Amino acid sequence: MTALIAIGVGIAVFTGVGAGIGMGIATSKAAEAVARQPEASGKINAMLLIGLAFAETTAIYGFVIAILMMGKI
Amino acid sequence: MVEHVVVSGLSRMALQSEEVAVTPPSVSLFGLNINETLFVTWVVMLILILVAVIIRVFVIKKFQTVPKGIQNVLEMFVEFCEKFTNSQLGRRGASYAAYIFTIAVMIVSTSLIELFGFRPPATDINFTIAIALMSFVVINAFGFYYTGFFGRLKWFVKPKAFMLPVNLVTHAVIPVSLSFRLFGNMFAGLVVMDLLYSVFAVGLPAVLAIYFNLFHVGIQTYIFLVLTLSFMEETVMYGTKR
Repeated sequence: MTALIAIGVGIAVFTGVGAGIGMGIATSKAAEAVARQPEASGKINAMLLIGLAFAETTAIYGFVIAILMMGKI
Repeated sequence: MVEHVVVSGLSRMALQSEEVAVTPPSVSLFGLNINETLFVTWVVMLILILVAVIIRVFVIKKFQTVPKGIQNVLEMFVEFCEKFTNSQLGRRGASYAAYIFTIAVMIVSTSLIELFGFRPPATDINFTIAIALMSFVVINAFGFYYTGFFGRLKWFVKPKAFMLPVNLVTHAVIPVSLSFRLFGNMFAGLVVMDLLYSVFAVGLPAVLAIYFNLFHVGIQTYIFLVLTLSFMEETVMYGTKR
């Protein structure tokens, strides 16, 4: 039973993979946009930060579930 | 039998290296058992109230039309908050600037307490749920005030009628997502800093503390406030009654 909980904790943190890929793609697009028009870099910066915080949320959900499960080993 | 003993011993060893639990330790105050983070919240509130009273009563005895000194700094903060809320909400934002400023001051000042060794209240799920529920009530109150009671209910079926379950679920998840985003980021920072303090006592923790205790706190506060304001803006997206 402890082994199954431990495997579950490992699977729960897997949500970070999607978040990492998504955030990398978003940052690359933001860098391209700033290269095309450097005057708009303030607005692009703000929009990038908001988008990254949204994309990170699902990874955080998985992390919180893993922490909660680790207390029940 | 043997593997049971070995596995339980390993898990206890793994958990012993991390003294940070999801539920904070409880202290006893006048015979009641309360969480440590609740006690830290009260202490921070007391300090902020004392600072506000001292500034109002002793330093600025009378507000002047042409400000100088501390009144200048206060007006700078108020203008910054009003500009921030007006940029998201249009001209209706001035009355919500006070709420935004309060939430920002609360989250930032209770998170800076970690530099003194206490556990910051944002790592307690109760604190973040309370703030997220407050924001949820403010969002709905904004919608009810500007679109009326039935206008608010009609908002849920606005683009097409089949969007009703999608809108309901998105709206019901607002407090959950706001609270868990703040809690998860703060708790992750706390776990990493705690593991770091048990290895290095000086040097490296000071460098990483700038990232985890200043940058992360600022970004998460900004995200929380921007999301609250954009949900508020969304409720009056289809036209208002006043």
